[in-house]
Amino acid sequence: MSILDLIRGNYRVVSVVGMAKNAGKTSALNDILYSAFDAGIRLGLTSIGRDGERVDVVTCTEKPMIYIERGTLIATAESLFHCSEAKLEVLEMTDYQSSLGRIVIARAVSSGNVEIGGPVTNQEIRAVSERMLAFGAELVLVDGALDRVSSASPAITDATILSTGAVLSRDMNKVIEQSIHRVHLLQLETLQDPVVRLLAEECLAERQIAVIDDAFEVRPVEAKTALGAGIKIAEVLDEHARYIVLPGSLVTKTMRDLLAASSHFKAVTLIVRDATKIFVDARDWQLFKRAGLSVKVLDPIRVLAVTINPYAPQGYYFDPKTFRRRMSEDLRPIPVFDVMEGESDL
Amino acid sequence: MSADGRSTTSTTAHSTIDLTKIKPYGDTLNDGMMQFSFTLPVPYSDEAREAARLYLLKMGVDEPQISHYEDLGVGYTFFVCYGKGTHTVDFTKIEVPKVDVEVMDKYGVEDYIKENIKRPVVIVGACTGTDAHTVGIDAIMNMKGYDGHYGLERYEGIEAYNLGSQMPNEEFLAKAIELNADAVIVSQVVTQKDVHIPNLTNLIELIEAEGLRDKLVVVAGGPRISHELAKEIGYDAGFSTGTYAEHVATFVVTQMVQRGLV
Repeated sequence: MSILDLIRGNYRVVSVVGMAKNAGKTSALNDILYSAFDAGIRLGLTSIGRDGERVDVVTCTEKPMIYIERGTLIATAESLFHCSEAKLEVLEMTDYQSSLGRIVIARAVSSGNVEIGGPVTNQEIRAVSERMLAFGAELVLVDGALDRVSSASPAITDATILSTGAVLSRDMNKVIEQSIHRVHLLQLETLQDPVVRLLAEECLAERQIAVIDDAFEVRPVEAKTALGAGIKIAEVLDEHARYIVLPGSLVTKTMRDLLAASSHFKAVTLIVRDATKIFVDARDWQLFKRAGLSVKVLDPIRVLAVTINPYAPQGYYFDPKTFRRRMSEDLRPIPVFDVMEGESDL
Repeated sequence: MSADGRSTTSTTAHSTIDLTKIKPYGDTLNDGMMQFSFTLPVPYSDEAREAARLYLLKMGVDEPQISHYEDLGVGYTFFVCYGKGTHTVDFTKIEVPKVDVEVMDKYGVEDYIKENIKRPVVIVGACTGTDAHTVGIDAIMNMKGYDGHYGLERYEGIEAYNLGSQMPNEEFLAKAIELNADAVIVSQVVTQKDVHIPNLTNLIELIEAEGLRDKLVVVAGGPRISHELAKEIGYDAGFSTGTYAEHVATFVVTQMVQRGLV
């Protein structure tokens, strides 16, 4: 089984996101690219960062190239056109700006290596993905950058692939702990209650922070953002409070302030749009969970697969078999692929 | 010129520059002469000196000479050395992506705001994360500016807020939201072990999560920041050494108009 088998026919726009730089995102992407070319699928390709340059701008390590076949669509910045070996035919000059120039949608008229640097904001990523689908792509792949995961939001891409690897830490246990935490977060429980969902959607549309009580009464909280407003939110909580709706991000400090300032948090569930809004690390998350704080999302993220890279550019590596076995056991039923070996555990 | 560039004679100087094979210039063209300074974690001794020489040889440096070395007092030794570089770079094959924006001066920016934006532009800046070095952000934002270039605080039509140093991303963004910022500018001077990278991506991810990415112009600056890096970390621009307030101001106001954020 390949990663492509999990995507094909089910999803139109898929993101590849990483736990860190050098976690193996580009290798994972290339794996999908090659199987897609073999299967004759017409691809669209873009990146929230920059891909295909030979040497990485951050770490100066060598990066895998991006090779595309004739017919592939790409959305990339103007100034990266010169760096591409494949001959490209411009389909559309978009109005989206990036620090490397305007974003252009193009089709490869010959096969070859390309450099991809797509739109800067996630909204624009979604927009150019739609354009590539309209131009005939069957599947659009959105490559991530560094440790950024916001492109995995269901508002942007339909499903996601998470890349992790030895680069995170010399201690395999830590890599596993952090990766599992990220997957669990991404797959956080979805809010089911239809009435609360409706109320929460309304709050989100108006960017209103609110507390919903047991009589489905919505109590607005006067704050433009939940950042730094944990205590303010806690003041609105009483024994009837059931939900707190956060239109933006949920960070450690907000949870800590809630915990410190109110004794009613145990009956309360925090609601966010999706898991990319949550900025809490593994240790704190466990702490809050044990204290009784619960968090649910409106839109679930589909994590199709996790890829691992047992090799770190710092020079050390994990035993590939042990690393994959332990990741697979903890992540079941999500399949784990070793991008350096290119074989699945299933 | 020796084809492989590994000649050890000092007569390799050439009167014409071959741009496909450039190497450092010392006393004569193509002599490859370079200066090195570094520290080794061994006590000041003849052995330390030899270690430094061997290290340069391993780096592929020809004829390494230790011209100065001194005891750092804690069992470490500092070296200044010279040697000949043996590699060449093909200058004609280098392509660095650039974006050309015509830079307006202070008055140009002020007129541009009056004509095209017609309201005050709010710019919030800080040194975020653990960084305590405000020299960059101060040069861009503070009234007196730097090197004869006034800072953003002095611009008519710009409301500039310099939030100082060691500003946590969450607090920085909360403040920017409260002030209805049009642009945020982040300075990162300390880049040891690439600490600036996760700090910069954390901020951009928070901005995305807050649903503000499309409404904000996000700019990073610092000695190791570039437009290429900006693309990678999701910022609209990345300014490096040699940037003055008018560069940042020009970029912010033209972006606002281009993106319809007026």
